[in-house]
Amino acid sequence: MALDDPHTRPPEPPEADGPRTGSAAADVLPFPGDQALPCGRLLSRVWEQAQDEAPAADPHTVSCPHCREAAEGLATVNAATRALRAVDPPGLHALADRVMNAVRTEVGLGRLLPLADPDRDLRITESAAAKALRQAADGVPGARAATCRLTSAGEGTDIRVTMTLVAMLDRPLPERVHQVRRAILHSAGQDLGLAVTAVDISVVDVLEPWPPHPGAGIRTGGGA
Amino acid sequence: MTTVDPTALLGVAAEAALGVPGVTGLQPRLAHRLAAAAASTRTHPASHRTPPEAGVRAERAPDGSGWHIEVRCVLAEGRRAVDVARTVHGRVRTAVISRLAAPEPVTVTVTVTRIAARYDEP
Repeated sequence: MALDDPHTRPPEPPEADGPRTGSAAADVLPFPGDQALPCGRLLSRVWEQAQDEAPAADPHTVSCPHCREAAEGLATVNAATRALRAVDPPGLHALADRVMNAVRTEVGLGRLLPLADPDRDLRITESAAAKALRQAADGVPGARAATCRLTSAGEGTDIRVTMTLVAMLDRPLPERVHQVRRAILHSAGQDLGLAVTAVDISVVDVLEPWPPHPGAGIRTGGGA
Repeated sequence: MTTVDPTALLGVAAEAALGVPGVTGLQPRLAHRLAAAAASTRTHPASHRTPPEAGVRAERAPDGSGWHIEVRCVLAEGRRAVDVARTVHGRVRTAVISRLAAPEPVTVTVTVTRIAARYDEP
């Protein structure tokens, strides 16, 4: 159960953060359930490299803390898997579930973004920042955040926010979007300390009033 | 050249970070979470507790000069994340430097992994 932000898991194969080298993405066909690390590499690729007899001459893997961490974890899991294979075949499924839960938790943290302190190396995960900004947007009456992505905007600690929104139509949309933008900028500054320099907002659906107008049809949600 | 036990630095850094108001916990690194997943096949799952040091990495700089410390923090809602992170940065750096036998450069990275709402699990 994702407690933090159910929208941080990308619905489609995740995109690499950096420029794709082509070979990195193209040689490996992602299998269902594969996960991308915060650096953009697929976990399956990192683990395949770690399994190779000859150490891969890949400068990224050597220098990337996420890839190194994933490879270190694999050694532990390999040892446990070998031990279990001998004595406890059913336990392998439970182990696999726990391993994938651990990986999903890590991947769900999202990319790392710089906090607004140019003198120190302070970062925040995209999932933590997005959660705060989504809450800020939800605080605007008649608006609900649908998705929220954050990316580095050029040099330094500048951040771009891209949010999709569902909104009620009882007031002009530009006015409501403006309120949401202000709420995002305020929360980014006051709650997080994130230098948001651009906010892109798209309204993607209509938020229906609740409770619905009398005679609006059959209620489909809710309980007794 | 001095010998410092990295494990001792992990403990010192974890303690310093956890002492900062607004820090509710340290987020275990993936390797520790995987180790915990493997360990709980042999023990009762609840019996495996991840120590706070699992949220810290201490590494020698590639050229051997000094240390790099990375701390992964879970914060409480209600304080500005960058301010808490800045305090963690300062206290961890000070604590680690004081633990070294001889002066060496220490760099610190602080990552806020989660901001826990009051109703969240710690």
